Amino acid sequence: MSTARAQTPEERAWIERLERRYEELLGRRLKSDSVAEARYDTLRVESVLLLTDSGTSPLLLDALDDLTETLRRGLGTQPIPPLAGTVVAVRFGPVSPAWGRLIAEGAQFVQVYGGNATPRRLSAEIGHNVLLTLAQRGGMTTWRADLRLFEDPEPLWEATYIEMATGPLPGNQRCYEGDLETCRYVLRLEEDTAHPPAGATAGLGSYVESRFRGRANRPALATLFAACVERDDPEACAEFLDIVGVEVPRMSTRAAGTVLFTARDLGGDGALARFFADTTASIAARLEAAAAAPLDSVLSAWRATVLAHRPAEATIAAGTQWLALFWTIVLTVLATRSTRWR
Amino acid sequence: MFRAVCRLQWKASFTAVALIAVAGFIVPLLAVQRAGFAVGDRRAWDLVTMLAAVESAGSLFQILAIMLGLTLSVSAWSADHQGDHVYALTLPVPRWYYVLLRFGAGVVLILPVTLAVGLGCALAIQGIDLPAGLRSYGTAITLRFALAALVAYAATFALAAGTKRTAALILGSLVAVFAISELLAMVGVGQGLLTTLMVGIFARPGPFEILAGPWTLIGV
Repeated sequence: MSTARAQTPEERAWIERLERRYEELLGRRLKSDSVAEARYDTLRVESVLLLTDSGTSPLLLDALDDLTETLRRGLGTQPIPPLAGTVVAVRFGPVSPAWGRLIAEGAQFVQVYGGNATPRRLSAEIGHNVLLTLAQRGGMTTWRADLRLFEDPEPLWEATYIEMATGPLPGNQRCYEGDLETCRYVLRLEEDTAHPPAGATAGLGSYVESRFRGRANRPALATLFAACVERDDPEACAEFLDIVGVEVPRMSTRAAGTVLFTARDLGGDGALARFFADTTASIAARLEAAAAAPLDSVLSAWRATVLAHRPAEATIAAGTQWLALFWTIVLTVLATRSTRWR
Repeated sequence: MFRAVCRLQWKASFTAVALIAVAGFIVPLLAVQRAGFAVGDRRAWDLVTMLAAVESAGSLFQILAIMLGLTLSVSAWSADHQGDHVYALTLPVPRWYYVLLRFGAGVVLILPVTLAVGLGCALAIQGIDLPAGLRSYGTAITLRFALAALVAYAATFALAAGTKRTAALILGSLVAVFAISELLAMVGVGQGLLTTLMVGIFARPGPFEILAGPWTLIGV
């Protein structure tokens, strides 16, 4: 068995000297790098500053046209406070220490690989990085929801309908049926997550029973498991899930993010600026500010939009039955013309 | 004459058709019950799993439709093949007319099986408490089954109507294309060949688009 030995004053001084020398050398290296490589062009797109080593690249210039339109469509034309000073570094070569420093200082980084880059893809990637900044600076950590403001919302609405209609747990179903209190919970808009509404946790006992039977192997857990499964006690279930490290199932972060679409549409231009104006306020209050309407109105409008995006009935596609009959006739004609009798 | 051909077809395929009809009646009932849609079932929290179970059971309809088509076409021609078509050649009717009679007799037998499937779907849906937001597709499944069985029957009927050489040629060609595309895929070229072939057969305007589905009895 070995024991750690305390450093002597001489040894400590020697190590400090070495470290200073290392930093000095590294500093020289960084300086030369920055002279050689950190020459970048600056381009401004709406409120975003782009730093790039190839400001005249046709690929980038084409991407910027697309990005301007995307930013306006997704964020509106009013300035959004957390976006001020957003820097996205677009590098057409490998990362170098000079560019690494930009990242360290808070710039988002997009690296362009020659082969498969297209203006649309580059624009989408820059847009994604803009949203990352917005999420980081906009106090979004308190709300687990995806910001997908630049995406085509139609597929997101349809996916949200499917989630709401198919679970998990009857909570989503209750929201589907118009229980707005449960909607708040499944969309993670409630501050008090320890006491979910009864509608949101109905059936939690059978969920826990089927998924976690094997995990109730410790006495404390076994007691909670029994209370949860046998009495369908939501608090026992929530505590059990908390101990095993699983969240009470709710709607996905992707689906939760669609509420922001509704707030943006209700509030018009400037809605997102209002949403991000006070990053310390609760998400519910911020949604109300964005939509300039009470939360229940926002949720009602959101629910109506979700219901309007119910997928089309999975009946036989138009023309398929006629195609089947056509092939039946063709094959039957072929059968009548068989060479067997000729 | 059509009645006589129908009677012959009935005799030749009664047992198989009855079995397929029973299966077609039972599949939807079992599908919803095993998936957990029965009233009072405690799995109602997990609709995604339940829907996946119903959807996977739906593939049995495809198999039944193909089996029905194959059974009917084989039984339609079995008596003629055994008698070397002598009886058919002695009849005072044109060949095409005789072939149509044979084909029609098979089509008539698709009807009772379709009816059994429809009845099974209706009973299965009636016996469950369908959650809000979901739809049942009993009618669509029944119609799809009828059309799929019809196309499968027409394809195998045409194949069986030809000479053994023609049938061997067509089936052999299909097997050869599958084998070649698999071999090419193994050496890293032509991965898309099999996909192209499958798309050609099962996607519009291919003959078996109707078989491609969806075959789920319950969906959103």
